[in-house]
Amino acid sequence: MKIVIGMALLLGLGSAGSFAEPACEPAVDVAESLNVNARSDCNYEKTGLNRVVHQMFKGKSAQDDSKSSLPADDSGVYREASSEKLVVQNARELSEARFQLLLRLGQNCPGGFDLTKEQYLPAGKGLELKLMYECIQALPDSVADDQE
Amino acid sequence: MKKALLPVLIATALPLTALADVTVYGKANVSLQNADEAGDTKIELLSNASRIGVKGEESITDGLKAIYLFEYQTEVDDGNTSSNQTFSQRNIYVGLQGSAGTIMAGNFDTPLKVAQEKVDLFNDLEGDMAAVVSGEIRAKNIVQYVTPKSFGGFAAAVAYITKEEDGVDDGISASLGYTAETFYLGVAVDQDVIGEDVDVARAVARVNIGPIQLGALYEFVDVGEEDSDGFLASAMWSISDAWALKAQYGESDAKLGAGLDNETMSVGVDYKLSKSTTLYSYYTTVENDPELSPSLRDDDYVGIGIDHKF
Repeated sequence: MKIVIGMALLLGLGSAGSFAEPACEPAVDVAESLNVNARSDCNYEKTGLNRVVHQMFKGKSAQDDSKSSLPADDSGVYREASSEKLVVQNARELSEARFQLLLRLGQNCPGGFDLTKEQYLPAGKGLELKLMYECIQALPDSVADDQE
Repeated sequence: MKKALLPVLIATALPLTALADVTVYGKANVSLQNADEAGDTKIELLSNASRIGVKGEESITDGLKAIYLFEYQTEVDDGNTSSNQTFSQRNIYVGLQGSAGTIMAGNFDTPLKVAQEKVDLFNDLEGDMAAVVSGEIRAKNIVQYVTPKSFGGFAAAVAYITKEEDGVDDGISASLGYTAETFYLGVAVDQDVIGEDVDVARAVARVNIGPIQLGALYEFVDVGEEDSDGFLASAMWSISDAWALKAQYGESDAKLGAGLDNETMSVGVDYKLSKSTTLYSYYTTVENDPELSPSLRDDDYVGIGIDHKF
Protein backbone atom coordinates (compact mmCIF):
# COMPACT_ATOMS: atom_id res chain seq x y z
CA MET A 1 0.00 0.00 0.00
CA LYS A 2 2.90 2.35 0.82
CA ILE A 3 4.21 1.77 -2.66
CA VAL A 4 0.90 2.70 -4.24
CA ILE A 5 0.58 5.89 -2.17
CA GLY A 6 4.17 6.84 -2.95
CA MET A 7 3.72 6.32 -6.65
CA ALA A 8 0.44 8.23 -6.59
CA LEU A 9 2.33 11.20 -5.11
CA LEU A 10 4.98 10.86 -7.78
CA LEU A 11 2.30 10.77 -10.43
CA GLY A 12 0.84 13.93 -8.97
CA LEU A 13 4.21 15.61 -9.31
CA GLY A 14 4.63 14.12 -12.75
CA SER A 15 1.46 15.75 -13.98
CA ALA A 16 3.30 19.04 -13.80
CA GLY A 17 5.62 17.80 -16.54
CA SER A 18 4.84 18.30 -20.17
CA PHE A 19 2.96 15.60 -22.00
CA ALA A 20 4.04 15.09 -25.56
CA GLU A 21 2.88 12.54 -28.07
CA PRO A 22 5.70 10.11 -28.81
CA ALA A 23 7.18 9.80 -32.26
CA CYS A 24 5.76 7.12 -34.56
CA GLU A 25 7.24 3.82 -33.42
CA PRO A 26 7.32 0.68 -35.56
CA ALA A 27 3.85 -0.88 -35.73
CA VAL A 28 5.09 -4.06 -34.03
CA ASP A 29 6.24 -2.06 -31.00
CA VAL A 30 2.96 -0.18 -30.79
CA ALA A 31 1.11 -3.51 -30.90
CA GLU A 32 3.31 -4.98 -28.16
CA SER A 33 2.64 -2.00 -25.89
CA LEU A 34 -1.10 -2.76 -26.14
CA ASN A 35 -1.56 1.01 -26.14
CA VAL A 36 -5.03 1.39 -27.63
CA ASN A 37 -4.63 5.16 -27.31
CA ALA A 38 -1.48 5.30 -29.43
CA ARG A 39 -1.39 8.21 -31.84
CA SER A 40 -3.61 7.46 -34.82
CA ASP A 41 -1.88 9.61 -37.38
CA CYS A 42 1.11 7.34 -37.92
CA ASN A 43 1.09 6.11 -41.47
CA TYR A 44 2.28 2.53 -41.92
CA GLU A 45 0.91 2.12 -45.44
CA LYS A 46 4.36 2.42 -46.94
CA THR A 47 6.31 0.13 -44.65
CA GLY A 48 7.20 -3.54 -44.88
CA LEU A 49 4.58 -6.19 -45.44
CA ASN A 50 1.85 -3.66 -44.82
CA ARG A 51 2.93 -1.77 -47.91
CA VAL A 52 2.57 -4.89 -50.05
CA VAL A 53 -0.94 -5.57 -48.73
CA HIS A 54 -2.12 -2.02 -49.30
CA GLN A 55 -0.70 -1.89 -52.78
CA MET A 56 -2.36 -5.17 -53.69
CA PHE A 57 -5.68 -3.66 -52.72
CA LYS A 58 -4.97 -0.69 -54.89
CA GLY A 59 -4.65 -3.12 -57.78
CA LYS A 60 -0.97 -2.90 -58.40
CA SER A 61 2.08 -4.71 -57.20
CA ALA A 62 4.79 -3.17 -55.07
CA GLN A 63 7.15 -3.43 -57.99
CA ASP A 64 4.80 -1.60 -60.31
CA ASP A 65 4.26 1.10 -57.75
CA SER A 66 7.92 1.72 -57.21
CA LYS A 67 8.22 2.29 -60.93
CA SER A 68 5.21 4.58 -61.00
CA SER A 69 6.88 6.81 -58.46
CA LEU A 70 9.59 7.56 -60.96
CA PRO A 71 9.21 10.66 -63.08
CA ALA A 72 6.76 10.78 -65.93
CA ASP A 73 8.20 14.11 -66.87
CA ASP A 74 11.70 14.86 -67.99
CA SER A 75 12.41 17.53 -65.40
CA GLY A 76 14.99 15.44 -63.54
CA VAL A 77 12.82 14.90 -60.44
CA TYR A 78 10.67 12.03 -59.29
CA ARG A 79 7.59 12.31 -57.15
CA GLU A 80 5.98 9.96 -54.65
CA ALA A 81 2.51 10.68 -53.34
CA SER A 82 1.85 10.33 -49.61
CA SER A 83 -0.13 11.90 -46.78
CA GLU A 84 0.07 12.91 -43.14
CA LYS A 85 -2.81 13.70 -40.80
CA LEU A 86 -3.59 15.10 -37.35
CA VAL A 87 -6.80 15.54 -35.38
CA VAL A 88 -7.59 19.00 -33.99
CA GLN A 89 -10.24 19.96 -31.46
CA ASN A 90 -10.37 23.74 -31.79
CA ALA A 91 -9.27 26.71 -33.90
CA ARG A 92 -6.20 27.34 -31.77
CA GLU A 93 -4.91 23.84 -32.44
CA LEU A 94 -5.57 24.09 -36.16
CA SER A 95 -2.76 26.43 -37.15
CA GLU A 96 -0.36 24.67 -34.81
CA ALA A 97 -1.33 21.26 -36.23
CA ARG A 98 -0.94 22.50 -39.80
CA PHE A 99 2.50 23.85 -39.01
CA GLN A 100 3.50 20.58 -37.32
CA LEU A 101 2.30 18.62 -40.35
CA LEU A 102 4.25 20.87 -42.72
CA LEU A 103 7.36 20.39 -40.60
CA ARG A 104 6.81 16.63 -40.77
CA LEU A 105 6.50 16.77 -44.55
CA GLY A 106 9.74 18.70 -44.62
CA GLN A 107 11.41 15.92 -42.65
CA ASN A 108 9.95 13.30 -44.98
CA CYS A 109 11.08 15.22 -48.06
CA PRO A 110 14.57 16.68 -47.64
CA GLY A 111 14.35 18.03 -51.20
CA GLY A 112 11.07 19.85 -50.59
CA PHE A 113 7.47 18.94 -51.38
CA ASP A 114 4.33 19.97 -53.22
CA LEU A 115 1.01 20.01 -51.35
CA THR A 116 -1.37 18.21 -53.66
CA LYS A 117 -4.51 18.25 -51.50
CA GLU A 118 -5.70 19.50 -48.13
CA GLN A 119 -8.64 17.66 -46.55
CA TYR A 120 -10.74 18.27 -43.44
CA LEU A 121 -12.72 15.28 -42.20
CA PRO A 122 -15.09 15.03 -39.21
CA ALA A 123 -13.44 13.32 -36.22
CA GLY A 124 -15.67 13.23 -33.16
CA LYS A 125 -16.09 16.81 -31.96
CA GLY A 126 -13.02 17.89 -33.90
CA LEU A 127 -11.58 17.71 -37.37
CA GLU A 128 -8.98 15.51 -38.96
CA LEU A 129 -6.59 17.59 -41.03
CA LYS A 130 -5.00 15.56 -43.80
CA LEU A 131 -2.30 16.88 -46.08
CA MET A 132 -1.44 14.97 -49.22
CA TYR A 133 1.90 15.73 -50.77
CA GLU A 134 4.58 14.73 -53.21
CA CYS A 135 8.25 14.83 -52.42
CA ILE A 136 10.49 16.72 -54.77
CA GLN A 137 13.73 14.86 -54.99
CA ALA A 138 16.62 14.83 -57.38
CA LEU A 139 16.58 11.76 -59.55
CA PRO A 140 19.24 9.19 -58.63
CA ASP A 141 21.94 9.00 -61.29
CA SER A 142 21.29 5.32 -62.03
CA VAL A 143 17.60 5.96 -62.66
CA ALA A 144 18.35 9.00 -64.73
CA ASP A 145 20.66 6.90 -66.89
CA ASP A 146 17.93 4.28 -67.38
CA GLN A 147 15.55 6.94 -68.56
CA GLU A 148 17.81 8.36 -71.11
CA MET B 1 3.89 -20.85 -46.69
CA LYS B 2 5.53 -18.58 -49.20
CA LYS B 3 5.91 -15.05 -47.90
CA ALA B 4 4.35 -13.65 -51.06
CA LEU B 5 1.15 -15.59 -50.38
CA LEU B 6 0.68 -14.18 -46.92
CA PRO B 7 -0.42 -10.68 -47.93
CA VAL B 8 -2.79 -12.23 -50.45
CA LEU B 9 -4.45 -14.32 -47.74
CA ILE B 10 -4.63 -11.37 -45.39
CA ALA B 11 -5.92 -9.11 -48.11
CA THR B 12 -8.67 -11.47 -49.18
CA ALA B 13 -9.75 -11.92 -45.56
CA LEU B 14 -10.37 -8.22 -45.04
CA PRO B 15 -13.23 -6.08 -46.31
CA LEU B 16 -12.16 -3.47 -48.85
CA THR B 17 -13.63 -0.58 -46.88
CA ALA B 18 -11.66 -1.53 -43.78
CA LEU B 19 -8.27 -1.71 -45.45
CA ALA B 20 -7.33 1.91 -44.88
CA ASP B 21 -7.26 1.30 -41.11
CA VAL B 22 -5.58 -2.12 -41.19
CA THR B 23 -1.93 -2.53 -40.36
CA VAL B 24 -0.06 -5.73 -41.08
CA TYR B 25 3.12 -5.88 -39.04
CA GLY B 26 5.68 -8.21 -37.57
CA LYS B 27 9.28 -8.84 -36.75
CA ALA B 28 11.93 -11.49 -37.16
CA ASN B 29 14.40 -11.71 -34.29
CA VAL B 30 17.04 -14.41 -34.48
CA SER B 31 20.19 -14.89 -32.44
CA LEU B 32 23.10 -17.28 -32.42
CA GLN B 33 24.36 -17.89 -28.91
CA ASN B 34 26.78 -19.95 -26.92
CA ALA B 35 24.91 -21.33 -23.92
CA ASP B 36 26.77 -22.57 -20.88
CA GLU B 37 24.06 -24.12 -18.75
CA ALA B 38 25.33 -25.79 -15.58
CA GLY B 39 28.55 -26.78 -17.28
CA ASP B 40 26.99 -28.08 -20.50
CA THR B 41 27.97 -25.95 -23.45
CA LYS B 42 26.19 -25.72 -26.77
CA ILE B 43 25.69 -23.39 -29.73
CA GLU B 44 22.05 -22.47 -30.32
CA LEU B 45 20.13 -20.65 -33.03
CA LEU B 46 17.12 -19.02 -31.42
CA SER B 47 14.01 -17.27 -32.64
CA ASN B 48 13.17 -14.63 -30.06
CA ALA B 49 9.41 -14.03 -30.18
CA SER B 50 9.37 -13.50 -33.96
CA ARG B 51 5.81 -12.71 -34.95
CA ILE B 52 3.30 -11.51 -37.48
CA GLY B 53 0.10 -9.66 -36.77
CA VAL B 54 -2.83 -7.70 -38.08
CA LYS B 55 -4.43 -4.82 -36.22
CA GLY B 56 -7.00 -2.29 -37.20
CA GLU B 57 -10.08 -0.31 -36.50
CA GLU B 58 -13.38 0.38 -38.21
CA SER B 59 -15.74 3.26 -37.50
CA ILE B 60 -19.21 2.18 -36.38
CA THR B 61 -20.81 5.52 -35.59
CA ASP B 62 -19.49 9.02 -35.05
CA GLY B 63 -17.21 8.63 -32.06
CA LEU B 64 -17.42 4.85 -31.75
CA LYS B 65 -15.23 2.32 -33.48
CA ALA B 66 -14.38 -1.35 -33.35
CA ILE B 67 -10.74 -2.23 -32.77
CA TYR B 68 -9.00 -5.56 -33.14
CA LEU B 69 -5.59 -7.20 -33.09
CA PHE B 70 -4.52 -10.74 -34.00
CA GLU B 71 -0.89 -11.65 -33.46
CA TYR B 72 0.91 -14.96 -33.91
CA GLN B 73 4.39 -16.13 -33.06
CA THR B 74 6.45 -18.17 -35.45
CA GLU B 75 9.78 -19.88 -34.89
CA VAL B 76 12.23 -18.58 -37.46
CA ASP B 77 14.97 -20.97 -36.32
CA ASP B 78 13.32 -24.36 -36.70
CA GLY B 79 9.86 -23.64 -38.06
CA ASN B 80 7.76 -25.21 -35.35
CA THR B 81 6.55 -24.15 -31.93
CA SER B 82 6.84 -26.47 -28.95
CA SER B 83 3.40 -27.82 -29.84
CA ASN B 84 4.61 -28.59 -33.37
CA GLN B 85 2.57 -25.80 -34.96
CA THR B 86 3.77 -23.16 -37.42
CA PHE B 87 2.06 -20.38 -35.48
CA SER B 88 1.18 -19.94 -31.82
CA GLN B 89 -1.21 -17.36 -30.42
CA ARG B 90 0.08 -14.15 -28.87
CA ASN B 91 -2.00 -11.07 -28.03
CA ILE B 92 -5.48 -11.24 -29.53
CA TYR B 93 -8.40 -8.95 -28.83
CA VAL B 94 -11.49 -7.27 -30.16
CA GLY B 95 -13.10 -4.23 -28.57
CA LEU B 96 -15.01 -1.00 -28.78
CA GLN B 97 -13.43 2.42 -28.42
CA GLY B 98 -15.25 5.69 -27.80
CA SER B 99 -14.89 8.96 -25.95
CA ALA B 100 -15.44 7.17 -22.62
CA GLY B 101 -12.55 4.79 -23.19
CA THR B 102 -11.94 1.32 -24.58
CA ILE B 103 -13.42 -2.01 -23.60
CA MET B 104 -11.70 -5.05 -25.06
CA ALA B 105 -11.73 -8.80 -24.61
CA GLY B 106 -9.54 -11.69 -25.65
CA ASN B 107 -6.21 -13.26 -24.79
CA PHE B 108 -3.56 -10.65 -24.03
CA ASP B 109 -0.98 -9.31 -21.60
CA THR B 110 -2.33 -8.17 -18.23
CA PRO B 111 -2.09 -4.47 -17.27
CA LEU B 112 0.58 -5.45 -14.71
CA LYS B 113 2.76 -7.00 -17.40
CA VAL B 114 2.27 -4.09 -19.81
CA ALA B 115 3.18 -1.63 -17.02
CA GLN B 116 6.85 -2.63 -17.46
CA GLU B 117 6.86 -0.33 -20.53
CA LYS B 118 10.42 -0.17 -21.99
CA VAL B 119 12.36 -0.91 -18.82
CA ASP B 120 13.39 -4.45 -19.84
CA LEU B 121 16.22 -3.87 -22.32
CA PHE B 122 16.76 -7.59 -22.97
CA ASN B 123 13.12 -8.46 -23.58
CA ASP B 124 12.59 -11.85 -25.27
CA LEU B 125 16.28 -12.78 -24.86
CA GLU B 126 17.93 -14.89 -22.17
CA GLY B 127 18.23 -11.74 -20.08
CA ASP B 128 14.47 -11.15 -20.13
CA MET B 129 13.36 -9.92 -16.73
CA ALA B 130 10.89 -12.80 -16.59
CA ALA B 131 13.88 -14.82 -15.32
CA VAL B 132 13.65 -13.02 -11.98
CA VAL B 133 10.17 -11.46 -11.62
CA SER B 134 6.66 -12.85 -11.49
CA GLY B 135 3.55 -11.45 -13.09
CA GLU B 136 4.62 -11.71 -16.72
CA ILE B 137 1.24 -13.13 -17.65
CA ARG B 138 -0.58 -13.27 -20.99
CA ALA B 139 -4.05 -14.02 -19.69
CA LYS B 140 -6.75 -16.06 -21.35
CA ASN B 141 -10.38 -14.96 -21.02
CA ILE B 142 -9.54 -11.37 -20.11
CA VAL B 143 -11.85 -8.35 -20.34
CA GLN B 144 -10.24 -4.93 -19.94
CA TYR B 145 -11.23 -1.27 -19.70
CA VAL B 146 -8.72 1.44 -20.66
CA THR B 147 -9.22 5.16 -20.00
CA PRO B 148 -9.56 7.43 -23.04
CA LYS B 149 -6.83 9.42 -24.74
CA SER B 150 -8.35 12.64 -23.38
CA PHE B 151 -6.67 11.90 -20.04
CA GLY B 152 -3.44 13.22 -21.57
CA GLY B 153 -0.36 11.48 -20.26
CA PHE B 154 -2.32 9.45 -17.76
CA ALA B 155 -3.57 5.99 -18.66
CA ALA B 156 -5.31 3.49 -16.43
CA ALA B 157 -6.41 -0.05 -17.20
CA VAL B 158 -8.50 -2.51 -15.22
CA ALA B 159 -8.87 -6.11 -16.32
CA TYR B 160 -11.02 -8.99 -15.17
CA ILE B 161 -9.75 -12.50 -15.86
CA THR B 162 -12.26 -15.30 -15.52
CA LYS B 163 -10.88 -18.71 -14.66
CA GLU B 164 -14.08 -20.25 -16.06
CA GLU B 165 -14.22 -22.59 -13.10
CA ASP B 166 -16.70 -22.80 -10.25
CA GLY B 167 -15.19 -22.17 -6.82
CA VAL B 168 -11.98 -20.67 -8.18
CA ASP B 169 -11.35 -16.96 -7.59
CA ASP B 170 -11.18 -14.93 -10.77
CA GLY B 171 -8.29 -12.55 -11.30
CA ILE B 172 -8.09 -8.76 -11.33
CA SER B 173 -5.23 -6.77 -12.82
CA ALA B 174 -4.99 -2.97 -12.81
CA SER B 175 -2.44 -0.33 -13.70
CA LEU B 176 -1.99 3.42 -13.63
CA GLY B 177 0.72 5.15 -15.61
CA TYR B 178 1.88 8.59 -16.59
CA THR B 179 3.96 9.17 -19.72
CA ALA B 180 5.76 12.47 -20.29
CA GLU B 181 8.27 13.52 -22.88
CA THR B 182 11.25 12.33 -20.88
CA PHE B 183 9.90 9.94 -18.29
CA TYR B 184 7.36 7.29 -17.45
CA LEU B 185 5.96 6.26 -14.07
CA GLY B 186 3.63 3.36 -13.45
CA VAL B 187 2.09 1.26 -10.72
CA ALA B 188 0.16 -1.97 -11.15
CA VAL B 189 -1.40 -4.73 -9.08
CA ASP B 190 -2.55 -8.29 -9.74
CA GLN B 191 -4.94 -10.18 -7.50
CA ASP B 192 -5.48 -13.93 -7.99
CA VAL B 193 -4.10 -13.74 -11.55
CA ILE B 194 -1.12 -16.10 -11.18
CA GLY B 195 -3.16 -18.25 -8.81
CA GLU B 196 -5.54 -18.02 -5.90
CA ASP B 197 -4.21 -15.95 -2.98
CA VAL B 198 -1.27 -14.74 -5.06
CA ASP B 199 -1.10 -10.96 -5.22
CA VAL B 200 1.55 -8.93 -7.05
CA ALA B 201 2.31 -5.20 -6.91
CA ARG B 202 4.73 -3.49 -9.26
CA ALA B 203 6.18 0.02 -9.55
CA VAL B 204 8.07 1.12 -12.65
CA ALA B 205 10.03 4.23 -13.58
CA ARG B 206 11.91 5.26 -16.70
CA VAL B 207 13.71 8.50 -17.35
CA ASN B 208 15.54 9.74 -20.42
CA ILE B 209 18.35 12.23 -19.86
CA GLY B 210 19.79 13.14 -23.23
CA PRO B 211 21.26 9.97 -24.73
CA ILE B 212 20.89 8.05 -21.44
CA GLN B 213 17.84 5.98 -20.54
CA LEU B 214 17.53 4.71 -16.98
CA GLY B 215 14.87 2.27 -15.85
CA ALA B 216 13.84 0.65 -12.58
CA LEU B 217 11.19 -1.83 -11.55
CA TYR B 218 10.25 -3.00 -8.07
CA GLU B 219 7.91 -5.93 -7.47
CA PHE B 220 6.25 -7.23 -4.33
CA VAL B 221 4.63 -10.66 -4.26
CA ASP B 222 2.30 -11.90 -1.52
CA VAL B 223 1.56 -15.62 -1.52
CA GLY B 224 -0.67 -16.42 1.43
CA GLU B 225 1.46 -15.74 4.50
CA GLU B 226 4.70 -15.48 2.54
CA ASP B 227 6.04 -12.20 1.14
CA SER B 228 8.82 -11.77 -1.38
CA ASP B 229 10.11 -9.01 -3.58
CA GLY B 230 12.55 -8.20 -6.34
CA PHE B 231 13.89 -5.43 -8.50
CA LEU B 232 15.34 -4.70 -11.89
CA ALA B 233 17.57 -1.80 -12.92
CA SER B 234 18.54 -1.01 -16.49
CA ALA B 235 20.56 1.61 -18.35
CA MET B 236 21.06 2.36 -22.02
CA TRP B 237 23.46 4.85 -23.55
CA SER B 238 22.76 5.81 -27.15
CA ILE B 239 26.26 6.75 -28.21
CA SER B 240 25.06 7.79 -31.65
CA ASP B 241 22.02 7.25 -33.87
CA ALA B 242 23.40 3.79 -34.66
CA TRP B 243 25.22 2.54 -31.55
CA ALA B 244 23.81 1.86 -28.10
CA LEU B 245 25.28 0.24 -24.99
CA LYS B 246 22.94 -1.55 -22.58
CA ALA B 247 23.22 -3.05 -19.11
CA GLN B 248 20.67 -4.61 -16.81
CA TYR B 249 20.64 -6.25 -13.39
CA GLY B 250 17.78 -7.98 -11.61
CA GLU B 251 17.49 -9.74 -8.27
CA SER B 252 14.50 -11.32 -6.64
CA ASP B 253 13.20 -13.99 -4.32
CA ALA B 254 9.77 -13.61 -5.88
CA LYS B 255 10.35 -16.07 -8.69
CA LEU B 256 11.54 -19.07 -6.72
CA GLY B 257 9.83 -18.30 -3.41
CA ALA B 258 10.84 -19.76 -0.04
CA GLY B 259 13.38 -16.96 0.42
CA LEU B 260 15.58 -18.27 -2.40
CA ASP B 261 17.32 -15.57 -4.40
CA ASN B 262 17.57 -15.47 -8.15
CA GLU B 263 19.59 -12.94 -10.11
CA THR B 264 20.34 -12.00 -13.69
CA MET B 265 22.84 -9.61 -15.22
CA SER B 266 23.18 -8.64 -18.88
CA VAL B 267 25.29 -6.30 -20.94
CA GLY B 268 24.86 -5.68 -24.65
CA VAL B 269 25.65 -3.58 -27.69
CA ASP B 270 23.11 -2.62 -30.37
CA TYR B 271 23.96 -1.39 -33.85
CA LYS B 272 21.06 0.04 -35.81
CA LEU B 273 21.48 -0.61 -39.53
CA SER B 274 18.26 1.24 -40.35
CA LYS B 275 15.03 2.30 -38.68
CA SER B 276 13.75 -1.27 -38.98
CA THR B 277 16.88 -3.44 -38.67
CA THR B 278 19.19 -3.77 -35.69
CA LEU B 279 22.19 -6.00 -35.07
CA TYR B 280 22.83 -6.81 -31.42
CA SER B 281 25.15 -8.72 -29.14
CA TYR B 282 24.85 -9.64 -25.48
CA TYR B 283 26.28 -11.44 -22.50
CA THR B 284 23.86 -12.71 -19.86
CA THR B 285 24.31 -14.62 -16.66
CA VAL B 286 21.45 -16.11 -14.63
CA GLU B 287 22.12 -17.56 -11.20
CA ASN B 288 19.95 -19.19 -8.57
CA ASP B 289 20.52 -19.21 -4.84
CA PRO B 290 23.46 -21.47 -3.89
CA GLU B 291 21.10 -23.38 -1.59
CA LEU B 292 19.47 -24.78 -4.71
CA SER B 293 21.02 -27.45 -6.81
CA PRO B 294 23.50 -25.66 -9.10
CA SER B 295 22.10 -27.63 -12.01
CA LEU B 296 18.83 -25.70 -11.71
CA ARG B 297 20.24 -22.42 -12.98
CA ASP B 298 23.83 -21.28 -13.13
CA ASP B 299 23.99 -20.21 -16.73
CA ASP B 300 26.00 -17.94 -19.00
CA TYR B 301 25.07 -16.86 -22.49
CA VAL B 302 26.95 -14.98 -25.20
CA GLY B 303 25.16 -14.19 -28.42
CA ILE B 304 24.76 -12.08 -31.51
CA GLY B 305 21.50 -11.47 -33.35
CA ILE B 306 19.41 -9.51 -35.77
CA ASP B 307 16.05 -7.86 -35.21
CA HIS B 308 14.09 -6.82 -38.30
CA LYS B 309 10.73 -5.10 -37.92
CA PHE B 310 8.39 -4.99 -40.90
